[in-house]
Formats: sequence, structure tokens, C-alpha cells
Amino acid sequence: MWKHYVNISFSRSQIRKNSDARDRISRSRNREILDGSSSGVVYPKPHGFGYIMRSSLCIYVVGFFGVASVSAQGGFPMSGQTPTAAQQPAQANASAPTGGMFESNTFLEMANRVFDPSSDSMDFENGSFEWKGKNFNLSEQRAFRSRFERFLLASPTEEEEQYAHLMADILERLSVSNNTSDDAILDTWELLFRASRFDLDGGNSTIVANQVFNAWRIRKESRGVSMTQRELQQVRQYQQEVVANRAMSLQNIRERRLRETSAGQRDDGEASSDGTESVTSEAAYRMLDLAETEARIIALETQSAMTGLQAKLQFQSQIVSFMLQRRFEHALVLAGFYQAIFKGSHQSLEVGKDQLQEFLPGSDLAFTVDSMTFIAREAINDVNKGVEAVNAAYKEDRNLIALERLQEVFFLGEYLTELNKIPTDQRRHMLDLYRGLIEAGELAQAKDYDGVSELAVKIYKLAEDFPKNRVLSSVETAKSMSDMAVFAASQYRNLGDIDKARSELQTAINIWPSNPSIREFQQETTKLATAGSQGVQIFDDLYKRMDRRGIYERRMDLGFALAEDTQRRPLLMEVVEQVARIDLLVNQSKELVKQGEAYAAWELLVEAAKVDPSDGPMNQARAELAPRVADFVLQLDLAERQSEAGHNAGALAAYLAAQDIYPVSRLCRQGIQRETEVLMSGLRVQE
Amino acid sequence: MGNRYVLRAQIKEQLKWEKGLGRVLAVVAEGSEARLPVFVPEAVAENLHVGQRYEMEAIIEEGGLIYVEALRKY
Repeated sequence: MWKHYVNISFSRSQIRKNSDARDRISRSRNREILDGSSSGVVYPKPHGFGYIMRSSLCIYVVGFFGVASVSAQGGFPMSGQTPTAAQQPAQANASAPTGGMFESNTFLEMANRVFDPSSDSMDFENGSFEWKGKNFNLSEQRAFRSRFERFLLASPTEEEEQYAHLMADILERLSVSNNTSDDAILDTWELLFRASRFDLDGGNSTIVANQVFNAWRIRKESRGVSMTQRELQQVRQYQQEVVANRAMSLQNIRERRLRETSAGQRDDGEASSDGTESVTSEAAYRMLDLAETEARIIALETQSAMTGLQAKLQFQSQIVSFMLQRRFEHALVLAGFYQAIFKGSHQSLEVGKDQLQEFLPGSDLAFTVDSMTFIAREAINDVNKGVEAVNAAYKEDRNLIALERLQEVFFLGEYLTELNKIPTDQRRHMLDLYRGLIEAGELAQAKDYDGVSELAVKIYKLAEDFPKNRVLSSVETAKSMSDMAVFAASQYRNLGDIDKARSELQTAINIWPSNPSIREFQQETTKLATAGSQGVQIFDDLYKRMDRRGIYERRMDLGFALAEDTQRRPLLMEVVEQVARIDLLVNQSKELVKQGEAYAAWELLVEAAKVDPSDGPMNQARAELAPRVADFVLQLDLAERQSEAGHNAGALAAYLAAQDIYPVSRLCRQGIQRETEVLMSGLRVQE
Repeated sequence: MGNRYVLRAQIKEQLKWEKGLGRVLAVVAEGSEARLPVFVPEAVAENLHVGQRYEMEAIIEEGGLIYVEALRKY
């Protein structure tokens, strides 16, 4: 029973880990925004756009300097309002999207997840494919994509089916349950050459055949060495006997010499000495021969051992190589031959330990040929199950899942014929989906949101489990953020804060480079810049004629032109404020007329006339209203004329008469108070 | 100017009062609904109340001011 620890770590490792880290940061930032605790750049929540837009709409931009920001509050503009003060509402509302990279990054994270068709177990950053705790070297992403697409474009062939049958036959023949005689093995070996003729084989069966042949040849050479060894051993035995005989002869001679020495030592001393040396020298030569023979025997033994080891190592090395190349069938075939050729005690792998350690990280198991066989069989089984899972997911319209699983299965079983169980039309559908996802991912990287939205809809038609709404929502959010940044840039530009305007524009471009609002902004800015070059002359002419309305209507152009003009800029501001006030009063007056408060409406127009009696829209409003309040106007005019003539009592009487017509008149109340004061002061002087 | 008139009127409102000088009142003459401003020096009357009717002897000062020189209730 296969008990290998299953550890499919759905890594898409770095991407997923990085995404999680970024999620944590995003969540943290959102919390900061909600708590108001962020000390840095404020990143609005996606739905914050609506809030900001509502706030921004309240600005009611009527002037270059935001003077009308007060008008929207229903009050009068403050004459002493400074540009800085005027900037506040614009900044408060418009700068919110600053640093909109948050939104841009969020979109890219989403795009990385949604449009990445790679399986979780594929890590192209580290170039590894993880399968049940085993790491395969994953090729470069583009190369993998190329092979995968080639597979999706290919159709199962009859030739591939024949090859599958042949390989199954070879494996069956090598099974220990079958005939493993030398003749049977030889027959199986010959089948390898048939297998190598198939394109799908890639010539790997020839490699197996060569390995087997090499092992057989080494074994044959080893037999030859054994014969030589036996001959040398016979020579050695002979030489040992010779050496032993020589030693015995020498001993006999010595003993005879000793006996002769005791009889006539004085006369024969030198002659006996010569005979002994002669025997000794011959023995020494024989000893040398023996030593030489011994050395040759040892050398042959060593050679024999080395040759046998070399064959085994080459075999093992090729098995490991096949495993790492995911040539599982060839690994099984080679392992089958190995087990037939080498003894059971030679099953431990002596080579490729480093590669195996990398292949099976964290494993302290002793690597054997059997363990390689187990892993190869498990991989083939897993590919079978994977193909079934892919087909099942496809039938249930879970095409996105099917594509992810198919990639895993394809990488693991790229050289296995089991993949032919995936029909051609299904492959084409997967190819369309795969290409769509990759293209959408590339468009997302280019921040072509319209293209992404369009493709998301198409992809959804190919895969109903594709999160289309999530994509469209993210696209809309990103677009909104970009629009908001453009809006803020416009605000800052109108306020004359060019640096901030540029920064906001850059943010808008970063989020959505093809945002049409950016082009509109640029065109508007160009127009303003062109107008700005003539702005000083225009302003001087209009101001000389006190054509306030004319200045007001060109306020955008003039504001841009006079942004750095410390002398004219305050004058421009003053005029814009005045006309904005007139407009406000005229508008309020119109509202009162609608409510039937004609006298109150007139009073507002009188206030407006005090700002600029020559203002066209205001005078037009007065002319339209005058007939309806003629009696009141008559008394007010009389009061003013009397007052101007120094007839304060007459003016007072006229004000009282006007007040009788419109009792709550503010003008009358103020006029009565003023004229009475003048009267009393005159009387005081008289007293 | 310089002529003396008699005005029978009802006090409608005191517009201004200054101690030691007098008051400016808004009055409505008999037979009229229009209010008129009149000045009543403090020496002429100290206690005048809204709603009271007086017959006033007055002159027209420069600038058209009705200056009350004497008055009595009626």
C-alpha cells in the first residue's frame, strides 16, 4: 500500500504569499481609514467615492478661487477670504484620492489571481512544480505555455494508441510475475527498438536498450577477467612452490656446509661462500615473480569490481534521470531491467543523491530502485485520476477548475499517453479559455480596463465559474478612483496649486492610463494656458471699464494667467467675489418671487445693486420685478431722494409709508433708523 | 414755513427718544392711514404713550420736520 505522505502545497507560492501579505496590508489600511488613525496618505475605501463626490458637488464652483464654496451654504461670501481659506474645501474634498496606487494595486492583485490560469502547484518564480511533496524542475513559463498550448492544439492519434499498447506490453513482460528468463528478457529488450520508432518515445527506449546492452557487455567482460584471474592464480601457485623449493634447497646447502666446515673450515671458506650466494639470488628472483603475479591478480580483481560498479551506477543514474524528466514509463522499464540484471542486494541507489534530495525535500529515506518504481507508478496513477477529474469538471461546466487541474496533469503526465483521454473539442475549449485568461491578465497589467471588462464577459461565456462580477466591480472601482484623481487635479489647477495638480494627474494616470478624462483635462489645461498668455491685457482693459461681469465670465482663463501676479490677483478675486454675490442675490430673489414674496425679492435686488448698479443680469431682474412692487419702489425712491436732498423728515415719512406697504422691510427699518438718527443729531445741534 | 398747524393724531410708535432732547414719534392723523414722523421736545411732554390721541400744535421746520410745540389729549 502506498503510504507516501501526500503534501500538495497549493503554493503558486510567492504570488499567493505576496498577495496574502498585501491583503493584510490592505485590511490594515482600511481599518486605519475607518478609525481615522492613518497618519499618512488617506486611501478611501472603494465606496468612499460616492461620499467624496457628494461633498465635492457642494463646492459649487463659480470661481477660480472657490469663492462660491460659501454661496452653496446660502450665505454671503466673505470679502476677506484668502486663497488659502478658499482652498480648504477643495482640498478636503478633492485630495482624498491622493496616492490612489492602493486602488491600482488592489486591482492588479485581483487580476493576478483571477487571470492567472496557472495551477496553484506551479511556481514559475522559483521554477518548480510541486506534486505530493516532490519538486520537479518547472521550465520557464513561456516554454511551458508553448508546450501546453501545443498539447491543446494536438489531437489524439492512432499511433499514440499503438505506442501506449507497446509500452504497456513491455512493462507487463518485465513484471516479476512473468517469465524473467534470459530469453524472455532478451525478447523484451528487442521490443524497445520498436518503441523507439514512435515520435512520442523521443528515443528514450533506445537509451534504455543501450543501458541494458552495456550492462550485458560489462558482464561478459567480467567473465573474461575471471578467466585470466584463474590462470594467474595457477601461475602464482607454481611460483609459490618454486620459491618454497628454492628455500628448502638453500636450507639443505647451509646444513651441509656447516657439517663440512667442522671438518676443514680453514681451506674451503671462500668456495662455500660463493655457492650460497648463487642459490640466494635465484630465490630472490622467484620471489619477485611471485610478487608481480600477486599484483596482477589484485589489479584484475579491482578492474572487475570497478567494471561491475560502473554498469550499476550508469543504470541507476539513468533511472533517476528518467524520474526527474517525468519519463515515468521509461523509468519503470529501466528499473525492470535493472532488477532482472542485478542482484537484490544491489537495489540501493548510489548515485544522484543530491538530485533526489532536491526531488524529495525533507525526506531521510534511503533511496532505492524500488522507491523510484513506486513513485513512477504513483505518478502514472495520479495522471489517470487527474484526467478523470478534468473531464468531470468540464462536464459540470466548471471549466476554470478543469483548466487549472489540466495544467497540473499535463505537466506531470506530459509524456504519458493517458492524456489522450481528453477529447479534441475539450482541448480547444480549454485553449480558448487559457488564451483568454492570459490576454486578460496582460490587459490588466496594461490597465486597459475596457479591454479587461470586455474579455471578462467573453471568458465568462467560456467558463461559468469565472468570477466575472468581481472583475467588473474592480474595474469600475479603479475607473472611479482615476476619475476622482482627475477631478482633484482640476480642483488644484483651478486653485493655482500646480504641483498638487500634477501629482493628482499622475495618480490618475497610474490607475488608468487611458482614462478619457485625462485627455479632457489636458485639453482644458492647454486652453487655459493659451488664454493665460493674453490674460493680463484682457484683465486690465476690463477692470479699467469696471466690467465686473466681463471679468467674472473669463475668471478661469484670467485666474490661470494671473496665478503669479500678486498685484492683479487680489483685484481679480475681489471682482469674482462681488459678481458671485450679485448672482447669489439675484438667484435668491428669483426664488422669493416664485414664493410670492415680491417685496422681499426686491430688497435683495436692491442689495445687489449696491455691489454693482450696472450689472446686467441684476438690472434685468429688477426691470422684470419693478411693476409688481411699484408702490413700494416709489416710496423707497422718494425716501432716497429726500435723504440725498437733506430732507430727512421727508425721507423718514417716505420710509414709514414704504414700511406700511411691506412691514417687515429691512430697507425701511434701516432707513427709518438712519433718518431718525440724522434728525435727532440735527436737533441736538440746534439745542 | 413758520406757519403754525394743529394736528389731531394718534401715537403709533416711538421711533427715537433722547433724554433731555425729546422724541421722534410716528403718528397717524385723523382721516388718514399714513404714518407721519413728528418731533416732540421733552419740555412739551414727558409721558406719552402709544395709542394716545393728541391735538398737537406744530410748526414745519426746515427739511419738513413737524415740530410739536404744544399738545393736549383729546
